[in-house]
Amino acid sequence: MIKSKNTFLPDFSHIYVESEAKKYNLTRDCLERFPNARIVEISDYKSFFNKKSQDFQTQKKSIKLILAVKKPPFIYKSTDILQDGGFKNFYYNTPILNCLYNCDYCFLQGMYSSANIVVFVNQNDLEDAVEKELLIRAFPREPLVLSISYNTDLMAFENILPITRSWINFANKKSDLIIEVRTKSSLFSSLSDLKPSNKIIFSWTLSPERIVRMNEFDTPTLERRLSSIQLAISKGWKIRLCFDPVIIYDNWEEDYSNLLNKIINSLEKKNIYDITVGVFRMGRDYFQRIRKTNPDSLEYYKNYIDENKIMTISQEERDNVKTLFTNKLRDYISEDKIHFWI
Amino acid sequence: MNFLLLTALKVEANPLIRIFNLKKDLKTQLFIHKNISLLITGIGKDKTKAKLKSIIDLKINWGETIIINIGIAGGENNKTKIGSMYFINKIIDDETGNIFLPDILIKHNLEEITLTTVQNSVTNESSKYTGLVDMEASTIFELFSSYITSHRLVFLKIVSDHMDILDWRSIDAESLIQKKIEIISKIINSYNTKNLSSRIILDNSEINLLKKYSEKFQLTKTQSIQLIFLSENYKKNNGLIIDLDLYFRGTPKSKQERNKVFDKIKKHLST
Repeated sequence: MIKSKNTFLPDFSHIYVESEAKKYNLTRDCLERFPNARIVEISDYKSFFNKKSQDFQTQKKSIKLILAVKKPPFIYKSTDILQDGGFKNFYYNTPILNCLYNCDYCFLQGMYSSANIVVFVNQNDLEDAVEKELLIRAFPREPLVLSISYNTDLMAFENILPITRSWINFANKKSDLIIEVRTKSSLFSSLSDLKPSNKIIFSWTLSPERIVRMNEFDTPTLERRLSSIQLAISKGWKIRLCFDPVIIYDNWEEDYSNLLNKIINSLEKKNIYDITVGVFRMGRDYFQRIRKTNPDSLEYYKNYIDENKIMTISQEERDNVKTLFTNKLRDYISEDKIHFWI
Repeated sequence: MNFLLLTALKVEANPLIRIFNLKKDLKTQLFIHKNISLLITGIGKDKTKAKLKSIIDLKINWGETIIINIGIAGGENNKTKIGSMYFINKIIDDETGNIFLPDILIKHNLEEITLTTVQNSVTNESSKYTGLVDMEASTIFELFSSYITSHRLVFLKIVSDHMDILDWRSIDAESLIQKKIEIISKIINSYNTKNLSSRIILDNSEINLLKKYSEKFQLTKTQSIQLIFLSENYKKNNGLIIDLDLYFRGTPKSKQERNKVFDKIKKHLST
């Protein structure tokens, strides 16, 4: 028997549609977007997404799409691991579960047993929940900040379904609502016709090209991300820069110094809203679950410390990260605009 | 990869036995040649379950095995064509209502369809079922999904009737399978890729060796887990497991001595 060549089906060869989801516009739009996909009707997305005996990394070779109706809760308060950027009323929601990218340090591999992508098509229910939360938020004098890309990279999906655009339009109509769109995407061009708004924080995660190549599989190159940021800045948007996680390896200081030099020289500081810096940190349960699947990545086979059930790098390494970023960014942005999560 | 082909009937198996030159192993009742094995399960969920259980304990490397259930099925009159082969993308157990969804990751050119696994053969209720009807698939999926990831469970069904035949023995199942044998062969071939196998770090012999060390040194549970954890790190980073025999030659005379040696091992494995 001859050994086969790569014979994996393309992503979204199959779309699994909850019976309840069929009536929603997003479902119709999505099925129109993929006219050749095989449609499998299911009663509950969990019967496919949460089934046992799945292999996350093998599924990544042929990702399927699941269209489902989200049940409550539609909005969540922030967790300790999630960066709140200094905001008091910080929330996240999950318009999409899972990501088109496959960053090896990403917690999603540990959070979900499936690599398939769930799109919740009842956008109105998610929006209604935000409206209600706006009225009962703990700190009424402070805005409600909502991260819409916590369990996905929503902007990466923009050419498939314009969900980021919908949320931006929604936020623009609400007072006291700020939306954070965290991304590694280079698809800002698909939103560049929108009028700049101070209610939206586009947050680009940036890493040295070596990390992009070795750890952030299927993501745009550093250059393409920088081009997208430059386009956003040129249109008048304020940008958050995220260096999270900063990965430690031989010569990491040199690579990150070069990256920061490049940013300082190419992105005007007045357009930078703030900067967040983090290091590898992951709940022990997720970490162990990912490790068991033996991903190709070596990130899960390093000597981490277990700090209150969070796997992370040593204090000394964390201090080194803080020192490097503080020193490099001192003349670029004021210290109170750098948020460290280390 | 290894392949375990499952058919309900001997007549369904015959074309597969011939093309893959399979020989019966009297001990296991499997027909085997090289990396392909075949098991005849019998008809119905109970017989299938019993037969599958009989091979579960055999030393089969399930992490490297693709299960392919091949057989005839009744088809919905308006939607299926007699003699056509379908790739199953959803299995409904008629008795329990449970739904099983294989992960279809590998390219194929067949039409896909839903299959319902029923308790008794269907001869006059065709309107009740959509897609195809068989009597084994849900049992196969349910039982093997404890051992095999669902992208390595494949179900191929050839329509033999439109659920209107009183005696299934009148169906020429062998001929129906024979006519599709080339396509079946191609599908098996397309699944013969290492990309589909389970990824393990330490193999069974390495884990057994570490367990032996743990027992000999009466390591605590935490130490035993650490030994495996650090050995995995070492192999992942260096490509092979470290030879720890030097540390485990003697037997420690006290817990203190054991802990001292174990600290040295940890240091060695962490370098």
